[in-house]
Amino acid sequence: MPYEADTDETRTAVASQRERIELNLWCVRGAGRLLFLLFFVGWVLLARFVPAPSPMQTSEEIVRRYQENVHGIRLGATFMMVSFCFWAAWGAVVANWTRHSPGGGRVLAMIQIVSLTLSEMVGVLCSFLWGLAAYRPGEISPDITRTLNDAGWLMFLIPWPPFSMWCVALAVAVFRDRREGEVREFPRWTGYLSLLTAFLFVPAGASLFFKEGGYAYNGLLGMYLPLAIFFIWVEGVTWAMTGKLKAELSRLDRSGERIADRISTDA
Amino acid sequence: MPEAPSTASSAASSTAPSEPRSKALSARDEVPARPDGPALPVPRRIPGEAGVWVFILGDMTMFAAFFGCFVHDRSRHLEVFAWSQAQLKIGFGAVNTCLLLTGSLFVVWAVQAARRDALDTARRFIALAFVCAAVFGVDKLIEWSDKIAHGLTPATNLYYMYFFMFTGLHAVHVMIGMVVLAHLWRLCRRPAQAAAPLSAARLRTLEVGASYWHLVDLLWVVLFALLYLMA
Repeated sequence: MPYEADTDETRTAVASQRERIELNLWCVRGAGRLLFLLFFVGWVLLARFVPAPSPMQTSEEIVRRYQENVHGIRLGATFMMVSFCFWAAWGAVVANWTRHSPGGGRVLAMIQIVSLTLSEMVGVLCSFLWGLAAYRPGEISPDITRTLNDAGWLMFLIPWPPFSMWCVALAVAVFRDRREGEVREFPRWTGYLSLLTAFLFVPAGASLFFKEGGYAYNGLLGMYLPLAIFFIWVEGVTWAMTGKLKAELSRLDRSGERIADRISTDA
Repeated sequence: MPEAPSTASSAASSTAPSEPRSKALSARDEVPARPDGPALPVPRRIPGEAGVWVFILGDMTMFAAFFGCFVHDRSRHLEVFAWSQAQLKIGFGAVNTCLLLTGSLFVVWAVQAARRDALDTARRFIALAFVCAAVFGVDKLIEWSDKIAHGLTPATNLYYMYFFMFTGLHAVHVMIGMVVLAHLWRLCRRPAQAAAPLSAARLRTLEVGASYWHLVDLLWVVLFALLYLMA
């Protein structure tokens, strides 16, 4: 019964491909949103890091801020660490697309994976340092608590190059696909958005050099805008990736219907 | 020096009948002529492509935030900002403004020449714009060296922090712009088939590069007003 075996295999292949796309969809949409939600809850609501402490504050002021919200900051640091786990799921889908897209390839995908790993490490380390600063506030020298606080904020902002490299690798993959119109998997604006994001991370590095003004680690230009553009980028890529995966899913459904039609006709 | 077209809009909407035009442009921009009736409206078209405007508008938004921070801090430290501004030599900024505006004009003429399929002329204009950008860089280096020699560094005060950061970030834009101009220069080489016009894709890339260059110019005009002129 070679023909029945063929159709069974085809149906199984379609079903497993459908599951694969659904997993991708869950990772890119669910993990992208969870990343944002958990980070927001941890960073804003629990740790109350908005407004951020100023680098100009004295050690005593920093210790008081940590003492007043010691459990919130510890819990917030934990939430942030969890949020970064979901980032891996999101990044894996994007890297996988890059690996198989016409403009991508193994090298660009590997650049993304390495950059993602470094970025994850940065995220986990800065949460760890904030958590560590909230471990013994008031029990140890205030200068140590202030240094740990500084280390957390600077770790959060200074390592911008891997983030930018990640965005550039995606932009290159998008622009190398020279096809036009409907057949394009990723719209070209995502390439431009990635380039813009890579570029706008750069001012975050200035926070190492200034303690007051817009470029300090509590400044609009040094911290809030690079952070905002990062989430805009994640949301933009999620949107484009979701569209691409949904199109793939409906294409698969149409081909599945054709197979079903063929089976019923043959029967 | 080759002839300069009159305005950007006139070149976009119509050209002299004797001038050769690329097929790519005529397919997109041709407006049917009505000798006895009123001129038909020119169809709307985004210069370059929609995506590049995500980049340009995003970058402009970020610079707008930069300017907002500057004005905010200036209102809190009026005396420091006034003293610091008085140390600047307006000549450096004025020369740079003229250089960038002239460079932008060359880029406009280059795009118009490429649309007419006058590729050699386009390459010449792009080279001139590149020279303007290079001289801008030299002027900026001299100005920075002068300030640093007089002990004015980003660590001096808030004004000089913004001065060096803004002009530095803008200089990065200029350097990227120079790479873009070099790419456009290569793009305007005559294709292998001597008679073939510039393809639609190449013309689009040319417009994308030109739009970026105008962004660099526009940002500098605002920076110049903010850093050198704001009393």
